Amino acid sequence: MSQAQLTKATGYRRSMPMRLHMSRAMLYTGFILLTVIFIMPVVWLFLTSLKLNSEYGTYPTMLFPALPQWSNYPEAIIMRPFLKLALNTLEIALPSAVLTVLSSSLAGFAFARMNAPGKAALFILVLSMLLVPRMVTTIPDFILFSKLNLTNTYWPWILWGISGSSFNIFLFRQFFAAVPKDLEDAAEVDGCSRFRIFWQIFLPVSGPVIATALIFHFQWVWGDWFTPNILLSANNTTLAVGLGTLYLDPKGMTLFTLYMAALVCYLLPMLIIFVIGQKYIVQGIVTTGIKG
Amino acid sequence: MQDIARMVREPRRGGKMGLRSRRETRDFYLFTAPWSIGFLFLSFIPLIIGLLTSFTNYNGLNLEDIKFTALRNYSRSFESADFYTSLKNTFTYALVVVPVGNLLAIILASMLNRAMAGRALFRAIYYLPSILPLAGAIQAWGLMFNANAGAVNAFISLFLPGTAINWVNQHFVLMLILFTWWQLGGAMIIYLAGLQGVPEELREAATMDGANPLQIFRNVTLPLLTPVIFFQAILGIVGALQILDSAILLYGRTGLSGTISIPGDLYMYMVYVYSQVFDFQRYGYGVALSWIFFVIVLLLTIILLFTSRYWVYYEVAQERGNVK
Repeated sequence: MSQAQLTKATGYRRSMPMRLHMSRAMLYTGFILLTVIFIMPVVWLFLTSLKLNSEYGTYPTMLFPALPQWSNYPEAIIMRPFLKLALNTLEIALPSAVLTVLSSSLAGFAFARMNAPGKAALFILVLSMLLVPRMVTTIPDFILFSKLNLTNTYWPWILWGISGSSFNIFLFRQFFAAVPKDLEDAAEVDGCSRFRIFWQIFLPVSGPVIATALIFHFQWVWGDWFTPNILLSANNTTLAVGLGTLYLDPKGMTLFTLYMAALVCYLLPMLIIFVIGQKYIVQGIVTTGIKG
Repeated sequence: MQDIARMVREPRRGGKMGLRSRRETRDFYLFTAPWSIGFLFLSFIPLIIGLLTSFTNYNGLNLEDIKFTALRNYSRSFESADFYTSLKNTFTYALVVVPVGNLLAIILASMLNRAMAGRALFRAIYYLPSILPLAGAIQAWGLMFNANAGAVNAFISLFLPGTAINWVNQHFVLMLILFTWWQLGGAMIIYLAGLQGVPEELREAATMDGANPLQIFRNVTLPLLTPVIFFQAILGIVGALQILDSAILLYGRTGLSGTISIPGDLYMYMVYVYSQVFDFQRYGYGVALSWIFFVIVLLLTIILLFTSRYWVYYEVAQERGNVK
């Protein structure tokens, strides 16, 4: 409904001043309505996390808790192994994010700034891997890892990290391809090795892309349920898998409000990263011109 | 994308290479080594192993007395009712979520592309959901639509007191809403980037000619956006067809064990593959299913590539620097 208003509003954009004011107002109303829809799930999660478990699901639905139960938070985080799971997740996410950025930026640099026989074919291979469904390689990878006794370790993520990702290689290639040639030429005349050119000239200017790739990868691991579910077990798994089983009372019923408090804490790192990194992501995407 | 096409078309340099270019070649392969070695061992060899497995009755343990079953796994797939149900669900889902999501993203991006107060803030807010970890975003939406504890029923109750719609049975709709919400911001940013590639002169020229904003959008902006739409359509469909975690998590299976029981309309293709492999240890059959899926995705991509020449507008090499 708000969308329809919005479309209508732009249609009148260049008419008389009076109508211009009207449409401006409608536009902002639409934007604000949409804002409410966009942040409501997170706000609602937060409100619910402050309720008593007995207030959860009462009819009629309470918008606010009678008394905010801040104690839900320490109970969810400290009394249960939330932090241990969070550490596990970090132990997987951080090294693999750094590795995938290193590996993908190296490859992206090579594809953008060097010539070699077979380069085009390899790049087509990189791009075509974007189309290969994850399951097609993940099941055999799983068989491989279990034969090598690497299940229940974090090695699979390290290995996947080292091999980079097609998406990130593409991101870095697009960015590096747009850097002016002069910089490199000067360095080459000075006898810099290619690795030094990459490391000291190209990487330092690619902040937004690095941030984008790091954040996307971190978010991916933080939210991935499938991979840890098949590769890890209860004692070394990640938050995405473990969270659902932590908040049960002795009868096996879910303690919903504690669970919601834990979910808020689970979302929090990404929200913080978002506040800090949002600008870089937008910049990263705009400057790499994924625009096609 | 055009520079990639140019790169691919570039003639291979034949004959003897100088020392300089030989060193360049060596460096190139060194730089791409982490990726290519990883590709070899984690993608290429697994692809082959997978393909071979799909012709056997491998169940994870019977490596000693494994049997070659030829195309048995494939023919069984086509005889299975679950195969068709899950395929139908998956396609229905993808065919709704990709067009709707992209349409909304284009509208949103073009609204936010002009100078106005608070633009950066709105952009950030609409982008926010896409950065949330999927496993948490699903739970947040599950809570929103909870019959008693959800905000949606609470809101409807304001107008229709006593509403307690059991949304849990509307899995499919819930899933569509969840993913539209989760992906809209990311797509919006990409379209915003695309819109910045649309030269202002063109729009001004059209305004001078008396075109209204809608006409300008239809005839100037949209054609220049088609490469982005194409890119988004391919990756969007490939991504949407692979939906797995969310279908399982939305229904609430969060534990580590137990086989999947999932309501009919959430029974997606990858859920089917997952449960065959990891719940029933039918590796051979599961990999066969995933290869059938791979072929379907490839065919779809080829069709899209083929049709692209009729609707994707590539600017012919005019001397204009910044259009890629």
